[in-house]
Amino acid sequence: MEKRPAISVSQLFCLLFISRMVVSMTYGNILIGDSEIWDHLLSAPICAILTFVILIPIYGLFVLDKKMNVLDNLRELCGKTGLCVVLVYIFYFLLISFHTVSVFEKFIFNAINPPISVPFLTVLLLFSSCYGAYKGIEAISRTSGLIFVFTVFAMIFFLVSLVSSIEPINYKPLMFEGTESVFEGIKLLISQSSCIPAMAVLLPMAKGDHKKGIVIWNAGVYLVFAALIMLVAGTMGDFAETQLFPVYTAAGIGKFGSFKHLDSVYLGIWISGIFIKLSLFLMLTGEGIKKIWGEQVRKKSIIVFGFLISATSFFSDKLELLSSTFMTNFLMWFLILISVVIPLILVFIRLQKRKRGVYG
Amino acid sequence: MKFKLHGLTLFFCALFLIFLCGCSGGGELHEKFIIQGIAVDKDGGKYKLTAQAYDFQTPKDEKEPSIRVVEVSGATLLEALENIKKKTSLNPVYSQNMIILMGEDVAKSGVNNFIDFFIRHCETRPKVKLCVCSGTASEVIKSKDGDKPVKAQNIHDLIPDELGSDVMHFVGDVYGKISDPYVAWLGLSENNNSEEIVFKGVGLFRDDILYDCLENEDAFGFMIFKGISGFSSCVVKNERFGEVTCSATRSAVCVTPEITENSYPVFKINISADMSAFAFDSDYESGASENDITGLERDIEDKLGTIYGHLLGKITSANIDALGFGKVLRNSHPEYFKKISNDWENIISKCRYEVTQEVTLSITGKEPI
Repeated sequence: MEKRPAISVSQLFCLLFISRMVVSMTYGNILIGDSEIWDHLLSAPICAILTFVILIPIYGLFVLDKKMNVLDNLRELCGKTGLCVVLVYIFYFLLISFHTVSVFEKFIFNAINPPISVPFLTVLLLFSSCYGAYKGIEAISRTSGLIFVFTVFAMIFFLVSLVSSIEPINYKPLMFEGTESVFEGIKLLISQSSCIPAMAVLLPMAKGDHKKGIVIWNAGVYLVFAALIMLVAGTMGDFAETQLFPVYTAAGIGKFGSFKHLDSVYLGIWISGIFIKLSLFLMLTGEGIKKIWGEQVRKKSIIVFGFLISATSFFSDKLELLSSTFMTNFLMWFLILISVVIPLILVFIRLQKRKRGVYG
Repeated sequence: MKFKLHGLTLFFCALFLIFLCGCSGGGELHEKFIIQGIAVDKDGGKYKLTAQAYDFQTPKDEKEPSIRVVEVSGATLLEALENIKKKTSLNPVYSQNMIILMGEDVAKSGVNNFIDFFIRHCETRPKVKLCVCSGTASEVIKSKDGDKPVKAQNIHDLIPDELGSDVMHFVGDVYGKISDPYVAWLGLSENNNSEEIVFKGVGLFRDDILYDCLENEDAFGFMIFKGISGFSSCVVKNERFGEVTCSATRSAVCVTPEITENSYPVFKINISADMSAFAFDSDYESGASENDITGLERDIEDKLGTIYGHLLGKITSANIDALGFGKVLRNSHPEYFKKISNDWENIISKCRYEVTQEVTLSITGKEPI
């Protein structure tokens, strides 16, 4: 088995926290459609529990052999069939990269509308992300450590600057319009949890107390998410529903002392987060390629995939599908397939082989 | 070989930096028309727009840029805004805009006809203050204090943040369809050959159309209800001190809706206010005892009772929910509100409103010995 890069559990979960939080900044009509954002406050704790449940097969597989990730298991336990399934993982990681780029473009185009071309910005972002992915997990996680500090500070400041603007009358009763929005929220939040399949590959690369890391990460992600919903709904009320990106709009409303209009600062941190997420998923795509074709092809594939995603950014109007309801459902079922079904099958095969004495 | 490769990489990276010209599209400061305030009026079928902006082409002094006022018109608001560029050859920047003033005509013809730009455009901000002016908004934004134009910043500062007279609250109320929106009501008053902008009260809207305005005591009551202190003063009559002028220093309102079967909701409104009395008409030289203060407090409570009787009658008889009763009812009795939500605007006038007041009075200034 090849030498694995080693990062600490805290580095891993900082990386995954940023990748997960990137979604929260663009949370709004673009992603949720007509769904009531306030009701997603109920979806958040349910999703936190569901995430633990979904993680059981991945964690179970990891516990059986702490040196092997899901891709190693596929190659070792299923042979050539396993390598075909690795392609499914590659496709998923690539799809998430496409999705991230699509949301990034929509956000930049609608919320910032910069004087320079949006596809050009995307190409620049992908260029740096490919470099990050090329350098590997250690480089990405070190960078994410720095960005994590900025993200946490930004979130604290976001909270402090908005808390005085909360108007309790804006908090309508939960599920006022029915339970539909809660279920939509669950579907959306789970479908956006691409960190779960990422964990299936990354857990063996991290040293430390994984269980503790998972608990803190999951609780942190959904606590922050619930806090964001509380702030957005409390400060903006019904106005939030007129905004494509209410979290970003709220960032522009908050003020603390003489500090105000800090949306551009949050924007900088958010783009750093996008860079981390793209680097991570391009790297994971490369990991899949490495399992099938080896290290040399991995390096080339990252560049090829970078170009491929860049090329699609010039046809961004064709990417509407990526934020549709169909896509939410598709991503959710895809996530369940690669995070629950495949790891469960692998656990079963491994236990069977262990019973037969193939493994000790 | 390795050195050459690194050199080549460095060269391409440097080449790439040439394209990183994010600031090049921005332009110089003197090429921009940095809007501070916008006044929107109707002129026949057209929108007449008066924009106040910083003029960096002809700076007044080093500390402060001079102010430039530009008038443009167009069939739509956007067309009028586009004409700013044609007229000034400068690029309008909206991110520093602080206030939108609407003339009475434009407010009466419906705000939804033009507000979309201020919600949608990526440079505009939701906390931009929104107000309606008696007469035309153009007069207000062009008004002068002596020979200097009144700055948009000063008009902005007239309106307290707590009032919620901004784009965000207005659009939220129109979109939410439960409470009716309201904005600050400004006007001009002539004083010694100079014009003064006066924060007169509140403009009430039904949906997006200006319906009525609250001034004087009605506006005073409205401000206390919204927790705004120091808007103006009210005068109460007292047996011993004659007419006493007092103002609110703090206020808190608690609204409790009660639902009974086969009848409309009853809103129990408790207003607790800290008032400050600062001018007595007579007998001011002997000081006020505890009994006098208690007596004054009762007089103020009676006065507030009269003010709220008139204010609530005026607002609710027009089926306008500017005080947010609908949202309170929705939050406290969601199941009941769901049943009546479609008919809420007709129910407002049929509800009962019971007001109780608790006033704590402090006499400020120098007490006589």
